Amino acid sequence: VLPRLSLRARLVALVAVGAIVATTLAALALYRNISGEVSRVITSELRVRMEDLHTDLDDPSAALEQRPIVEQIVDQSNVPQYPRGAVPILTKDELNQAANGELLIDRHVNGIGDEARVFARPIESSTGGSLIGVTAASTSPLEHVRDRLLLVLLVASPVLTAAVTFAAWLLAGAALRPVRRMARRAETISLTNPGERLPEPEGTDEIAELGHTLNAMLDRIESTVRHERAFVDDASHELRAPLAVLRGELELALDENDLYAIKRGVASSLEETDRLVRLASDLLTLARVDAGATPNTVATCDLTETAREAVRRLSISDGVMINIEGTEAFVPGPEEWVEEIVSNLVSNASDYARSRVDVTVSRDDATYRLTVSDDGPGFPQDLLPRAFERFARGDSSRGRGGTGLGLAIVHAVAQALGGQVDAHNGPPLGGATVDVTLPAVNGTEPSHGALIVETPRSEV
Amino acid sequence: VTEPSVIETPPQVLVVDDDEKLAGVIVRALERAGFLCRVAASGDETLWAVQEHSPDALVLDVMIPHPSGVETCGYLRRHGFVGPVIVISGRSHPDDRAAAARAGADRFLAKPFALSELVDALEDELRVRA
Repeated sequence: VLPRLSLRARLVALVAVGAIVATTLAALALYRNISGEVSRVITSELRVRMEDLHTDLDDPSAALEQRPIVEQIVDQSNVPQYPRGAVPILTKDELNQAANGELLIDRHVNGIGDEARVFARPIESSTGGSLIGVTAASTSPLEHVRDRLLLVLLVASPVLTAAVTFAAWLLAGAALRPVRRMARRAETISLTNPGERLPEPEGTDEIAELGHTLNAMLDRIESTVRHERAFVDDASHELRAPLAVLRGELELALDENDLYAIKRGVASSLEETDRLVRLASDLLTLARVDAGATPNTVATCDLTETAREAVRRLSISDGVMINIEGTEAFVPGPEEWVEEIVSNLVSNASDYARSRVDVTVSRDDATYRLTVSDDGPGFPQDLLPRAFERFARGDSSRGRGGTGLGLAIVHAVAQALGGQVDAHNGPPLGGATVDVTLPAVNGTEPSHGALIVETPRSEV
Repeated sequence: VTEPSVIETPPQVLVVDDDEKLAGVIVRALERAGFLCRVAASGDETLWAVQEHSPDALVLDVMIPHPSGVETCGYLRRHGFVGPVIVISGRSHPDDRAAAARAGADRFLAKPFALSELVDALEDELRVRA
Protein backbone atom coordinates (compact mmCIF):
# COMPACT_ATOMS: atom_id res chain seq x y z
CA VAL A 1 0.00 0.00 0.00
CA LEU A 2 2.76 2.42 1.00
CA PRO A 3 4.44 2.80 -2.41
CA ARG A 4 1.11 3.95 -3.88
CA LEU A 5 0.92 6.89 -1.48
CA SER A 6 2.63 10.17 -2.17
CA LEU A 7 6.09 10.73 -0.73
CA ARG A 8 4.58 13.31 1.62
CA ALA A 9 1.97 10.83 2.92
CA ARG A 10 4.64 8.17 3.35
CA LEU A 11 6.92 10.52 5.28
CA VAL A 12 4.06 11.60 7.52
CA ALA A 13 2.96 7.99 8.10
CA LEU A 14 6.52 7.13 9.06
CA VAL A 15 6.70 10.06 11.48
CA ALA A 16 3.30 9.13 12.99
CA VAL A 17 4.34 5.53 13.58
CA GLY A 18 7.61 6.74 15.06
CA ALA A 19 5.81 9.20 17.33
CA ILE A 20 3.37 6.52 18.54
CA VAL A 21 6.20 4.09 19.31
CA ALA A 22 8.30 6.79 20.99
CA THR A 23 5.52 8.22 23.18
CA THR A 24 4.32 4.73 24.15
CA LEU A 25 7.81 3.68 25.18
CA ALA A 26 8.34 6.96 27.04
CA ALA A 27 4.96 6.62 28.80
CA LEU A 28 5.68 3.02 29.81
CA ALA A 29 9.09 3.96 31.19
CA LEU A 30 7.65 6.93 33.07
CA TYR A 31 4.80 4.83 34.47
CA ARG A 32 7.11 2.07 35.65
CA ASN A 33 9.60 4.49 37.10
CA ILE A 34 7.15 6.62 39.07
CA SER A 35 4.94 3.80 40.31
CA GLY A 36 8.07 1.86 41.37
CA GLU A 37 9.32 4.90 43.23
CA VAL A 38 6.02 5.38 45.08
CA SER A 39 5.92 1.67 45.91
CA ARG A 40 9.47 1.86 47.30
CA VAL A 41 8.49 4.83 49.47
CA ILE A 42 5.62 2.82 50.99
CA THR A 43 7.84 -0.22 51.66
CA SER A 44 10.59 1.85 53.26
CA GLU A 45 7.97 3.52 55.47
CA LEU A 46 6.87 0.03 56.61
CA ARG A 47 10.54 -0.88 57.32
CA VAL A 48 11.10 2.26 59.37
CA ARG A 49 7.99 1.43 61.41
CA MET A 50 9.31 -2.06 61.95
CA GLU A 51 12.55 -0.62 63.43
CA ASP A 52 10.51 1.24 66.01
CA LEU A 53 8.09 -1.61 66.69
CA HIS A 54 9.87 -3.46 69.55
CA THR A 55 9.94 -0.30 71.65
CA ASP A 56 6.15 -0.11 71.34
CA LEU A 57 5.84 -3.44 73.12
CA ASP A 58 7.53 -2.02 76.24
CA ASP A 59 5.78 1.28 76.06
CA PRO A 60 2.11 0.76 75.21
CA SER A 61 1.53 4.46 75.54
CA ALA A 62 3.56 4.96 72.44
CA ALA A 63 1.07 2.95 70.48
CA LEU A 64 0.33 4.57 67.19
CA GLU A 65 -3.15 4.42 65.94
CA GLN A 66 -2.37 6.58 63.02
CA ARG A 67 -4.04 5.03 60.11
CA PRO A 68 -3.55 3.95 57.54
CA ILE A 69 -0.57 2.20 59.16
CA VAL A 70 -1.36 -0.84 61.29
CA GLU A 71 1.23 -2.47 63.58
CA GLN A 72 1.19 -5.77 65.36
CA ILE A 73 3.62 -8.02 67.26
CA VAL A 74 2.72 -11.69 67.40
CA ASP A 75 4.39 -14.69 69.02
CA GLN A 76 5.27 -18.00 67.36
CA SER A 77 1.64 -19.14 67.52
CA ASN A 78 0.34 -15.96 65.83
CA VAL A 79 -1.09 -14.63 69.10
CA PRO A 80 -0.85 -10.87 69.05
CA GLN A 81 1.33 -9.62 71.97
CA TYR A 82 0.75 -6.03 70.91
CA PRO A 83 -1.83 -4.78 70.85
CA ARG A 84 -3.07 -7.55 73.00
CA GLY A 85 -6.34 -9.18 72.06
CA ALA A 86 -6.21 -7.97 68.46
CA VAL A 87 -7.16 -10.18 65.52
CA PRO A 88 -3.89 -11.49 63.94
CA ILE A 89 -3.13 -9.95 60.58
CA LEU A 90 -0.96 -12.80 59.31
CA THR A 91 -2.25 -16.17 58.17
CA LYS A 92 -0.52 -19.37 59.29
CA ASP A 93 1.48 -19.65 56.02
CA GLU A 94 2.49 -16.02 56.13
CA LEU A 95 3.62 -16.44 59.76
CA ASN A 96 5.92 -19.32 58.73
CA GLN A 97 7.31 -17.31 55.84
CA ALA A 98 7.91 -14.29 58.10
CA ALA A 99 9.58 -16.48 60.77
CA ASN A 100 12.07 -17.72 58.17
CA GLY A 101 13.03 -14.29 56.95
CA GLU A 102 10.87 -11.50 55.57
CA LEU A 103 7.37 -11.25 54.18
CA LEU A 104 6.25 -8.43 51.89
CA ILE A 105 2.82 -8.89 50.33
CA ASP A 106 0.04 -6.71 48.89
CA ARG A 107 -3.40 -7.87 50.00
CA HIS A 108 -6.58 -6.94 51.86
CA VAL A 109 -6.00 -5.97 55.49
CA ASN A 110 -8.82 -5.50 57.96
CA GLY A 111 -8.90 -1.92 59.12
CA ILE A 112 -7.11 -0.62 56.01
CA GLY A 113 -9.00 -2.07 53.10
CA ASP A 114 -8.32 -3.91 49.84
CA GLU A 115 -5.32 -1.82 48.86
CA ALA A 116 -2.78 -2.65 51.55
CA ARG A 117 0.79 -3.89 51.90
CA VAL A 118 1.89 -6.16 54.70
CA PHE A 119 5.48 -6.38 55.95
CA ALA A 120 6.53 -8.94 58.59
CA ARG A 121 9.84 -10.20 60.03
CA PRO A 122 11.21 -11.59 63.28
CA ILE A 123 12.08 -8.92 65.83
CA GLU A 124 14.09 -9.01 69.00
CA SER A 125 12.19 -8.53 72.21
CA SER A 126 13.55 -7.35 75.53
CA THR A 127 12.25 -10.61 77.11
CA GLY A 128 14.32 -12.68 74.74
CA GLY A 129 11.32 -14.55 73.28
CA SER A 130 11.00 -14.99 69.54
CA LEU A 131 8.45 -12.57 68.18
CA ILE A 132 7.27 -11.49 64.73
CA GLY A 133 6.68 -7.83 63.93
CA VAL A 134 3.94 -6.99 61.44
CA THR A 135 3.35 -3.62 59.84
CA ALA A 136 0.73 -2.89 57.21
CA ALA A 137 -0.03 0.26 55.30
CA SER A 138 -2.47 1.43 52.70
CA THR A 139 -1.21 1.41 49.11
CA SER A 140 -4.04 3.58 47.90
CA PRO A 141 -1.70 6.58 47.33
CA LEU A 142 0.25 4.34 44.96
CA GLU A 143 -2.88 3.29 43.09
CA HIS A 144 -3.95 6.90 43.02
CA VAL A 145 -0.64 7.99 41.50
CA ARG A 146 -0.82 5.13 38.99
CA ASP A 147 -4.35 6.04 37.91
CA ARG A 148 -3.52 9.68 37.52
CA LEU A 149 -0.37 8.88 35.62
CA LEU A 150 -2.18 6.48 33.30
CA LEU A 151 -4.84 9.11 32.63
CA VAL A 152 -2.30 11.79 31.86
CA LEU A 153 -0.31 9.49 29.59
CA LEU A 154 -3.37 8.21 27.74
CA VAL A 155 -4.42 11.74 26.96
CA ALA A 156 -0.96 13.18 26.37
CA SER A 157 0.37 10.50 24.02
CA PRO A 158 -2.28 10.84 21.29
CA VAL A 159 -2.18 14.63 21.51
CA LEU A 160 1.60 14.60 21.22
CA THR A 161 1.46 12.13 18.34
CA ALA A 162 -1.15 14.19 16.55
CA ALA A 163 0.90 17.36 17.01
CA VAL A 164 4.09 15.75 15.73
CA THR A 165 2.23 14.23 12.73
CA PHE A 166 0.67 17.56 11.83
CA ALA A 167 4.04 19.29 12.06
CA ALA A 168 5.54 16.57 9.87
CA TRP A 169 2.73 17.07 7.31
CA LEU A 170 3.43 20.79 7.13
CA LEU A 171 7.21 20.33 6.98
CA ALA A 172 7.06 17.62 4.32
CA GLY A 173 4.72 19.79 2.27
CA ALA A 174 7.08 22.74 2.49
CA ALA A 175 10.13 20.62 1.72
CA LEU A 176 8.50 18.97 -1.31
CA ARG A 177 6.92 22.11 -2.77
CA PRO A 178 9.95 22.84 -5.01
CA VAL A 179 9.77 19.26 -6.29
CA ARG A 180 6.11 19.74 -7.21
CA ARG A 181 6.97 23.02 -8.94
CA MET A 182 9.74 21.28 -10.88
CA ALA A 183 7.40 18.43 -11.86
CA ARG A 184 4.78 20.89 -13.11
CA ARG A 185 7.34 22.75 -15.22
CA ALA A 186 8.87 19.51 -16.48
CA GLU A 187 5.46 18.53 -17.89
CA THR A 188 5.53 21.57 -20.16
CA ILE A 189 9.07 21.08 -21.50
CA SER A 190 9.24 19.46 -24.92
CA LEU A 191 11.20 19.70 -28.14
CA THR A 192 9.11 22.70 -29.19
CA ASN A 193 10.52 24.75 -26.29
CA PRO A 194 13.89 23.15 -25.57
CA GLY A 195 15.13 26.36 -23.92
CA GLU A 196 12.74 26.02 -20.95
CA ARG A 197 14.36 25.12 -17.61
CA LEU A 198 13.12 23.77 -14.26
CA PRO A 199 12.79 26.27 -11.40
CA GLU A 200 15.86 25.76 -9.19
CA PRO A 201 15.17 26.20 -5.46
CA GLU A 202 17.61 28.49 -3.68
CA GLY A 203 20.26 27.07 -1.39
CA THR A 204 22.46 24.03 -1.67
CA ASP A 205 20.23 21.24 -0.35
CA GLU A 206 19.50 17.97 -2.14
CA ILE A 207 16.46 19.35 -3.98
CA ALA A 208 18.40 22.37 -5.22
CA GLU A 209 21.12 19.98 -6.35
CA LEU A 210 18.52 17.83 -8.12
CA GLY A 211 17.15 20.87 -9.93
CA HIS A 212 20.64 21.96 -10.90
CA THR A 213 21.56 18.50 -12.16
CA LEU A 214 18.34 18.13 -14.16
CA ASN A 215 18.83 21.56 -15.73
CA ALA A 216 22.40 20.66 -16.66
CA MET A 217 20.97 17.52 -18.31
CA LEU A 218 18.43 19.65 -20.20
CA ASP A 219 21.32 21.88 -21.37
CA ARG A 220 23.09 18.85 -22.79
CA ILE A 221 19.92 17.53 -24.44
CA GLU A 222 19.18 20.95 -25.94
CA SER A 223 22.68 21.20 -27.35
CA THR A 224 22.38 17.71 -28.85
CA VAL A 225 19.00 18.58 -30.35
CA ARG A 226 20.43 21.78 -31.82
CA HIS A 227 23.35 19.89 -33.30
CA GLU A 228 21.01 17.26 -34.75
CA ARG A 229 18.76 19.93 -36.25
CA ALA A 230 21.71 21.78 -37.72
CA PHE A 231 22.96 18.50 -39.17
CA VAL A 232 19.58 17.67 -40.70
CA ASP A 233 19.31 21.21 -42.10
CA ASP A 234 22.78 21.00 -43.59
CA ALA A 235 22.21 17.50 -44.96
CA SER A 236 18.94 18.70 -46.47
CA HIS A 237 20.67 21.64 -48.12
CA GLU A 238 23.57 19.53 -49.38
CA LEU A 239 21.22 16.92 -50.84
CA ARG A 240 18.75 19.34 -52.38
CA ALA A 241 21.32 21.53 -54.11
CA PRO A 242 22.62 18.81 -56.50
CA LEU A 243 19.05 17.55 -56.91
CA ALA A 244 17.99 21.03 -57.97
CA VAL A 245 20.80 21.18 -60.55
CA LEU A 246 19.99 17.67 -61.76
CA ARG A 247 16.32 18.47 -62.11
CA GLY A 248 17.07 21.77 -63.83
CA GLU A 249 19.52 20.21 -66.32
CA LEU A 250 17.01 17.52 -67.24
CA GLU A 251 14.22 20.07 -67.63
CA LEU A 252 16.41 22.21 -69.89
CA ALA A 253 17.60 19.22 -71.92
CA LEU A 254 14.01 18.17 -72.55
CA ASP A 255 13.30 21.46 -74.34
CA GLU A 256 16.63 21.48 -76.15
CA ASN A 257 17.04 20.59 -79.81
CA ASP A 258 20.76 21.10 -80.11
CA LEU A 259 22.48 17.75 -79.59
CA TYR A 260 25.64 19.37 -78.23
CA ALA A 261 23.67 21.31 -75.62
CA ILE A 262 21.80 18.13 -74.64
CA LYS A 263 25.10 16.27 -74.21
CA ARG A 264 26.47 19.09 -72.09
CA GLY A 265 23.36 18.87 -69.91
CA VAL A 266 23.72 15.12 -69.53
CA ALA A 267 27.40 15.50 -68.59
CA SER A 268 26.48 18.09 -65.98
CA SER A 269 23.72 15.81 -64.66
CA LEU A 270 26.26 13.02 -64.39
CA GLU A 271 28.55 15.25 -62.30
CA GLU A 272 25.68 16.11 -59.96
CA THR A 273 24.79 12.43 -59.70
CA ASP A 274 28.38 11.70 -58.67
CA ARG A 275 28.14 14.48 -56.07
CA LEU A 276 24.95 12.89 -54.72
CA VAL A 277 26.54 9.44 -54.68
CA ARG A 278 29.56 10.74 -52.73
CA LEU A 279 27.29 12.52 -50.29
CA ALA A 280 25.08 9.47 -49.80
CA SER A 281 28.14 7.30 -49.28
CA ASP A 282 29.63 9.71 -46.71
CA LEU A 283 26.32 10.01 -44.88
CA LEU A 284 26.05 6.22 -44.77
CA THR A 285 29.61 5.90 -43.46
CA LEU A 286 28.82 8.41 -40.71
CA ALA A 287 25.59 6.62 -39.86
CA ARG A 288 27.46 3.31 -39.65
CA VAL A 289 30.18 4.75 -37.43
CA ASP A 290 27.56 6.45 -35.24
CA ALA A 291 25.56 3.23 -34.94
CA GLY A 292 28.60 1.15 -34.07
CA ALA A 293 30.24 3.78 -31.87
CA THR A 294 31.99 1.02 -29.95
CA PRO A 295 33.05 -1.35 -32.71
CA ASN A 296 32.03 -4.86 -31.82
CA THR A 297 35.27 -6.28 -33.09
CA VAL A 298 38.62 -7.60 -31.98
CA ALA A 299 40.26 -6.64 -35.25
CA THR A 300 43.54 -4.78 -35.30
CA CYS A 301 45.51 -3.45 -38.23
CA ASP A 302 48.85 -1.94 -39.12
CA LEU A 303 48.34 1.80 -39.43
CA THR A 304 51.36 2.33 -41.71
CA GLU A 305 50.51 -0.53 -44.06
CA THR A 306 46.86 0.53 -44.20
CA ALA A 307 47.95 4.08 -45.01
CA ARG A 308 50.18 2.81 -47.89
CA GLU A 309 47.31 0.71 -49.20
CA ALA A 310 44.81 3.58 -48.97
CA VAL A 311 47.12 6.00 -50.77
CA ARG A 312 47.75 3.46 -53.54
CA ARG A 313 43.99 3.31 -54.19
CA LEU A 314 43.41 7.06 -54.22
CA SER A 315 43.47 9.04 -57.42
CA ILE A 316 45.79 11.85 -56.48
CA SER A 317 45.77 15.27 -58.12
CA ASP A 318 48.47 15.77 -60.71
CA GLY A 319 51.76 17.21 -59.54
CA VAL A 320 51.31 16.25 -55.90
CA MET A 321 53.77 13.84 -54.30
CA ILE A 322 52.73 11.74 -51.32
CA ASN A 323 55.47 10.59 -48.89
CA ILE A 324 54.66 7.89 -46.39
CA GLU A 325 56.96 7.21 -43.42
CA GLY A 326 56.55 4.90 -40.48
CA THR A 327 57.16 1.44 -39.10
CA GLU A 328 54.76 -1.29 -38.09
CA ALA A 329 52.08 0.26 -35.85
CA PHE A 330 49.19 -1.89 -34.72
CA VAL A 331 46.04 -0.07 -33.68
CA PRO A 332 42.60 -1.37 -32.74
CA GLY A 333 39.88 -1.36 -35.34
CA PRO A 334 39.03 -2.94 -38.64
CA GLU A 335 41.11 -1.98 -41.66
CA GLU A 336 38.09 -0.42 -43.44
CA TRP A 337 37.71 2.12 -40.69
CA VAL A 338 41.37 3.02 -40.45
CA GLU A 339 41.47 3.30 -44.23
CA GLU A 340 38.50 5.65 -44.03
CA ILE A 341 40.63 7.94 -41.84
CA VAL A 342 43.68 7.86 -44.09
CA SER A 343 41.90 8.20 -47.41
CA ASN A 344 39.78 11.14 -46.26
CA LEU A 345 42.81 12.97 -44.84
CA VAL A 346 45.08 12.30 -47.80
CA SER A 347 42.53 13.17 -50.48
CA ASN A 348 41.69 16.37 -48.58
CA ALA A 349 45.38 17.28 -48.26
CA SER A 350 46.18 16.49 -51.90
CA ASP A 351 43.24 18.66 -53.06
CA TYR A 352 44.82 21.68 -51.38
CA ALA A 353 48.56 20.82 -51.57
CA ARG A 354 50.78 22.70 -54.00
CA SER A 355 53.19 19.83 -54.52
CA ARG A 356 53.60 17.66 -51.45
CA VAL A 357 51.71 15.70 -48.82
CA ASP A 358 53.54 13.95 -45.94
CA VAL A 359 51.98 11.00 -44.13
CA THR A 360 53.93 9.90 -41.04
CA VAL A 361 53.20 7.33 -38.36
CA SER A 362 55.05 7.81 -35.05
CA ARG A 363 54.81 6.38 -31.56
CA ASP A 364 54.05 8.44 -28.39
CA ASP A 365 53.99 6.26 -25.27
CA ALA A 366 50.84 4.16 -25.54
CA THR A 367 49.56 5.69 -28.75
CA TYR A 368 50.39 5.93 -32.43
CA ARG A 369 50.12 9.27 -34.15
CA LEU A 370 49.16 9.55 -37.80
CA THR A 371 50.11 12.95 -39.17
CA VAL A 372 48.93 14.14 -42.57
CA SER A 373 50.31 17.51 -43.63
CA ASP A 374 50.43 19.48 -46.86
CA ASP A 375 52.12 22.56 -48.30
CA GLY A 376 48.86 24.19 -49.32
CA PRO A 377 47.22 27.36 -47.93
CA GLY A 378 46.14 25.68 -44.66
CA PHE A 379 42.72 25.83 -43.01
CA PRO A 380 40.94 29.20 -43.11
CA GLN A 381 41.28 30.65 -39.57
CA ASP A 382 37.50 30.76 -39.00
CA LEU A 383 37.16 27.11 -39.99
CA LEU A 384 39.96 25.79 -37.78
CA PRO A 385 37.97 25.56 -34.51
CA ARG A 386 35.12 23.69 -36.20
CA ALA A 387 37.05 21.81 -38.85
CA PHE A 388 35.74 18.44 -37.65
CA GLU A 389 32.07 19.45 -37.52
CA ARG A 390 29.73 17.94 -40.06
CA PHE A 391 29.29 20.13 -43.15
CA ALA A 392 31.74 22.67 -41.75
CA ARG A 393 33.39 24.15 -44.84
CA GLY A 394 35.37 27.22 -45.54
CA ASP A 395 33.72 29.34 -48.22
CA SER A 396 36.73 28.72 -50.44
CA SER A 397 36.18 24.97 -50.36
CA ARG A 398 32.70 25.17 -51.80
CA GLY A 399 32.55 23.85 -55.28
CA ARG A 400 35.74 21.82 -54.84
CA GLY A 401 33.70 18.65 -54.98
CA GLY A 402 34.01 17.80 -51.30
CA THR A 403 30.94 16.85 -49.31
CA GLY A 404 31.97 18.71 -46.15
CA LEU A 405 31.90 15.40 -44.31
CA GLY A 406 35.46 14.09 -44.79
CA LEU A 407 36.98 15.45 -41.58
CA ALA A 408 33.75 14.69 -39.69
CA ILE A 409 34.14 11.05 -40.74
CA VAL A 410 37.81 11.09 -39.61
CA HIS A 411 36.72 12.50 -36.26
CA ALA A 412 33.85 10.04 -35.79
CA VAL A 413 35.95 6.99 -36.72
CA ALA A 414 38.90 8.07 -34.55
CA GLN A 415 36.59 8.59 -31.58
CA ALA A 416 34.93 5.23 -32.13
CA LEU A 417 38.37 3.61 -32.05
CA GLY A 418 39.28 5.42 -28.81
CA GLY A 419 41.46 8.01 -30.49
CA GLN A 420 41.63 11.77 -30.88
CA VAL A 421 42.05 14.29 -33.71
CA ASP A 422 43.65 17.70 -33.93
CA ALA A 423 43.97 20.19 -36.79
CA HIS A 424 46.39 23.08 -37.13
CA ASN A 425 48.29 25.13 -39.68
CA GLY A 426 52.02 25.58 -40.12
CA PRO A 427 54.78 23.01 -39.58
CA PRO A 428 55.96 20.65 -40.88
CA LEU A 429 55.11 21.73 -44.48
CA GLY A 430 53.53 25.12 -43.82
CA GLY A 431 50.02 24.15 -44.88
CA ALA A 432 47.31 22.21 -43.06
CA THR A 433 48.22 19.42 -40.63
CA VAL A 434 45.87 16.89 -39.08
CA ASP A 435 47.02 14.58 -36.26
CA VAL A 436 45.08 11.43 -35.45
CA THR A 437 46.09 9.65 -32.24
CA LEU A 438 45.04 6.03 -31.87
CA PRO A 439 45.76 3.67 -28.96
CA ALA A 440 48.66 1.30 -29.64
CA VAL A 441 48.00 -2.43 -29.54
CA ASN A 442 51.07 -4.28 -28.23
CA GLY A 443 52.22 -7.68 -29.44
CA THR A 444 49.06 -8.36 -31.33
CA GLU A 445 49.21 -10.06 -34.67
CA PRO A 446 47.10 -8.48 -37.34
CA SER A 447 43.76 -10.19 -37.43
CA HIS A 448 41.01 -9.64 -39.90
CA GLY A 449 38.03 -10.03 -37.65
CA ALA A 450 34.80 -9.02 -39.26
CA LEU A 451 33.38 -5.67 -38.30
CA ILE A 452 29.93 -6.05 -36.89
CA VAL A 453 27.98 -2.85 -37.15
CA GLU A 454 24.52 -2.80 -35.75
CA THR A 455 22.32 -0.53 -37.78
CA PRO A 456 19.05 0.22 -36.01
CA ARG A 457 17.30 1.24 -39.16
CA SER A 458 17.07 -1.13 -42.09
CA GLU A 459 18.29 1.39 -44.61
CA VAL A 460 19.63 4.85 -44.04
CA VAL B 1 -8.18 44.26 -78.08
CA THR B 2 -4.40 44.04 -78.34
CA GLU B 3 -2.28 46.97 -77.39
CA PRO B 4 0.11 48.24 -79.99
CA SER B 5 3.39 46.45 -79.49
CA VAL B 6 6.00 48.52 -77.74
CA ILE B 7 9.66 47.71 -77.89
CA GLU B 8 10.57 47.00 -74.28
CA THR B 9 13.86 45.96 -72.76
CA PRO B 10 13.47 42.50 -71.29
CA PRO B 11 13.22 42.37 -67.48
CA GLN B 12 16.54 42.04 -65.72
CA VAL B 13 16.90 39.37 -63.01
CA LEU B 14 19.71 39.02 -60.48
CA VAL B 15 20.27 35.33 -59.69
CA VAL B 16 21.96 34.82 -56.31
CA ASP B 17 23.34 31.38 -55.45
CA ASP B 18 26.81 30.33 -54.30
CA ASP B 19 26.34 27.03 -56.14
CA GLU B 20 27.71 28.05 -59.55
CA LYS B 21 26.09 25.15 -61.36
CA LEU B 22 22.62 25.81 -59.99
CA ALA B 23 23.01 29.52 -60.76
CA GLY B 24 24.02 28.55 -64.31
CA VAL B 25 21.00 26.30 -64.78
CA ILE B 26 18.64 28.99 -63.49
CA VAL B 27 20.22 31.61 -65.76
CA ARG B 28 19.82 29.38 -68.83
CA ALA B 29 16.16 28.75 -68.01
CA LEU B 30 15.43 32.43 -67.39
CA GLU B 31 17.26 33.55 -70.56
CA ARG B 32 15.32 31.01 -72.55
CA ALA B 33 12.14 32.61 -71.11
CA GLY B 34 13.31 36.02 -72.25
CA PHE B 35 14.87 37.51 -69.12
CA LEU B 36 18.25 39.18 -68.88
CA CYS B 37 20.34 37.74 -66.04
CA ARG B 38 23.25 38.60 -63.79
CA VAL B 39 24.70 36.32 -61.13
CA ALA B 40 25.88 37.03 -57.58
CA ALA B 41 27.32 34.50 -55.13
CA SER B 42 27.06 36.24 -51.74
CA GLY B 43 24.98 38.74 -49.81
CA ASP B 44 27.60 41.44 -50.22
CA GLU B 45 27.81 40.92 -53.99
CA THR B 46 24.02 41.08 -54.16
CA LEU B 47 23.82 44.42 -52.36
CA TRP B 48 26.48 45.82 -54.64
CA ALA B 49 24.85 44.43 -57.81
CA VAL B 50 21.41 45.78 -56.89
CA GLN B 51 22.85 49.24 -56.36
CA GLU B 52 24.92 49.06 -59.52
CA HIS B 53 22.48 47.47 -61.97
CA SER B 54 19.00 48.02 -60.42
CA PRO B 55 17.59 44.64 -61.49
CA ASP B 56 13.82 44.26 -61.88
CA ALA B 57 13.67 41.04 -59.83
CA LEU B 58 15.75 38.78 -57.60
CA VAL B 59 16.09 35.01 -57.37
CA LEU B 60 17.72 34.63 -53.96
CA ASP B 61 19.14 31.53 -52.30
CA VAL B 62 18.82 31.50 -48.50
CA MET B 63 22.12 29.82 -47.70
CA ILE B 64 24.67 32.16 -49.23
CA PRO B 65 27.80 33.61 -47.63
CA HIS B 66 27.41 36.74 -45.58
CA PRO B 67 24.86 38.19 -45.22
CA SER B 68 22.34 35.37 -45.60
CA GLY B 69 19.60 35.46 -48.23
CA VAL B 70 16.93 36.40 -45.69
CA GLU B 71 19.07 39.20 -44.24
CA THR B 72 19.89 40.47 -47.72
CA CYS B 73 16.20 40.49 -48.66
CA GLY B 74 15.28 42.36 -45.47
CA TYR B 75 18.01 44.94 -46.08
CA LEU B 76 16.96 45.53 -49.69
CA ARG B 77 13.30 45.93 -48.72
CA ARG B 78 14.19 48.45 -46.02
CA HIS B 79 16.23 50.37 -48.58
CA GLY B 80 13.53 50.70 -51.16
CA PHE B 81 13.83 47.66 -53.43
CA VAL B 82 10.27 46.95 -54.59
CA GLY B 83 10.77 44.35 -57.33
CA PRO B 84 9.79 40.69 -56.94
CA VAL B 85 12.05 38.57 -54.72
CA ILE B 86 11.78 34.80 -55.17
CA VAL B 87 13.58 33.02 -52.36
CA ILE B 88 14.93 29.51 -53.07
CA SER B 89 16.13 27.23 -50.30
CA GLY B 90 17.48 23.77 -49.64
CA ARG B 91 15.51 23.75 -46.41
CA SER B 92 11.75 23.99 -46.29
CA HIS B 93 10.99 24.45 -42.59
CA PRO B 94 7.82 26.44 -41.96
CA ASP B 95 10.17 28.66 -39.89
CA ASP B 96 12.27 29.41 -42.97
CA ARG B 97 9.23 30.23 -45.06
CA ALA B 98 7.94 32.53 -42.33
CA ALA B 99 11.34 34.24 -41.96
CA ALA B 100 11.53 34.79 -45.72
CA ALA B 101 7.99 36.23 -45.79
CA ARG B 102 8.81 38.53 -42.86
CA ALA B 103 11.90 39.76 -44.68
CA GLY B 104 9.67 40.76 -47.60
CA ALA B 105 10.11 37.84 -50.04
CA ASP B 106 7.23 37.32 -52.46
CA ARG B 107 7.62 33.57 -53.07
CA PHE B 108 9.44 30.70 -51.45
CA LEU B 109 10.56 27.75 -53.59
CA ALA B 110 12.10 24.67 -51.96
CA LYS B 111 14.89 22.97 -53.90
CA PRO B 112 14.62 20.97 -56.05
CA PHE B 113 11.98 23.08 -57.83
CA ALA B 114 10.79 22.99 -61.43
CA LEU B 115 12.45 25.72 -63.51
CA SER B 116 9.08 26.34 -65.16
CA GLU B 117 7.66 27.05 -61.71
CA LEU B 118 10.37 29.64 -61.10
CA VAL B 119 9.75 31.29 -64.47
CA ASP B 120 5.99 31.35 -63.86
CA ALA B 121 6.48 32.84 -60.41
CA LEU B 122 8.69 35.61 -61.76
CA GLU B 123 6.32 36.42 -64.62
CA ASP B 124 3.33 36.47 -62.24
CA GLU B 125 5.03 38.79 -59.79
CA LEU B 126 6.23 41.14 -62.55
CA ARG B 127 2.74 41.20 -64.11
CA VAL B 128 1.17 42.07 -60.75
CA ARG B 129 3.52 45.03 -60.43
CA ALA B 130 3.12 46.20 -64.03
